[in-house]
Amino acid sequence: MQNTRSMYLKRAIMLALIAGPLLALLSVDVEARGGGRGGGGFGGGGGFGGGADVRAPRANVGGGGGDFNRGNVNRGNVNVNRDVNVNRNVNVDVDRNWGYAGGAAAVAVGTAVVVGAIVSTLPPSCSAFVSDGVTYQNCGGTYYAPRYDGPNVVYEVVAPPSSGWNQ
Amino acid sequence: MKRTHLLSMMLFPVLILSGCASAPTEPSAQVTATPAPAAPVARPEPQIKPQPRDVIKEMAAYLRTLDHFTVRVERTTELILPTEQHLHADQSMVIAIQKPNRMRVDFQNISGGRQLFYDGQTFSLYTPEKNVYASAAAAPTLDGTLDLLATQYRISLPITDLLVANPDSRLAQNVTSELYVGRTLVRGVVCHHLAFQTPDLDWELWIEEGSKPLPRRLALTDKSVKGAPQMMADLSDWNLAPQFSANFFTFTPPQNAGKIKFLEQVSTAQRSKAAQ
Repeated sequence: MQNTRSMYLKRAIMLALIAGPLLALLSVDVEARGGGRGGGGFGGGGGFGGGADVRAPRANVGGGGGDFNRGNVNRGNVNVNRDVNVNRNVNVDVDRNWGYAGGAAAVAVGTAVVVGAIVSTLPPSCSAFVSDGVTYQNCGGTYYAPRYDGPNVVYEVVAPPSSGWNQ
Repeated sequence: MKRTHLLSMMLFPVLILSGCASAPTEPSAQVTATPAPAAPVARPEPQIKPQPRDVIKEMAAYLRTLDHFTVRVERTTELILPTEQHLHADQSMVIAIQKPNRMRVDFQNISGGRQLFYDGQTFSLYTPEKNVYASAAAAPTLDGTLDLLATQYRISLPITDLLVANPDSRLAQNVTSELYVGRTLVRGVVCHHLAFQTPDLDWELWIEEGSKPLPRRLALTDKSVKGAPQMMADLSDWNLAPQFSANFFTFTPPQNAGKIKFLEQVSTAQRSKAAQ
């Protein structure tokens, strides 16, 4: 009886001696993995799209404005305050001569022109027409008013300006 | 027999451990006599790796001390066409800041460029090629105006995060991992290379090493957009003591320039009226 008890005691000590260092090793391993995390990719996440044809990245880390809670530091939290494609219009500021008219305003020229339609380039042979200090373009009877769409100048189809017409 | 064998095996690591534990109490001669493996000796970089966040804070603190400056930004933006073709669009500009509430941006392109003025009360956009401009009320602060431009008028400058009053808090948002990559040359300037992740973005920042921790490059990969397009902006020609003329930030429209509107200024009521 006494003998078996001391035997159990010995075994318990032995177990502790084995398990102790092993546990220590394990904990080191866990820490190493914890520290090395970050390569693990937070899967792109659903909600792609955005509506525009040309896809572009955002211009800023902070989202470029009010879509992100400014100054709200959510360190370490995944999926907090996640605004995917919120009001993100593709409006890349491109050089006109670059050849690819950027922006959501790049509507094909030659389609039916309705008032309110926006085009990035005017059809050929237009004549300038000034009314109330605004320079319109008269292109075959369709009137275009220049606007800024983001940083780019585009043309909005407008109803023929009434005031000052033919004067 | 077996048991004693086992016991000696178990005691062995214990003895080693106790040996290790007692080593520091010995005179240090023995410890220094056996130096660390000589492998990394060739690397002349003995310092402790900086914490990315600390480097950003240093940069932010330094930027806050700048009263006025100009910087050239050359940006490349990756576009993904409906055909899934990837294109890279270039844009370059010179940004001038006079704190607290003056800014001017000269966008440069071969069509004649454009200019953006913010004089503390209004902002104006002028396109010389088309000889048109538009103006609208601005916010009283630079931060507010940058936000207004981006959200309401969709004019976003590529380094807004670095121009605001507190770049560190803006940049720290939603960061899930941060990495000090190392030191590298960016256009001949020795920089700290930092990398961060958020759920939506992988982004990197290169900050000049030394007494002028200026941002030298910003790159990001937008994982929230299909295809994960990238943007990279190089910051160069930092001038920390520019001489601005009195009306440098005030837009005076040329005599024959036409005033036009932002699409956002054309109210829906006006449009529906025009449609009738």
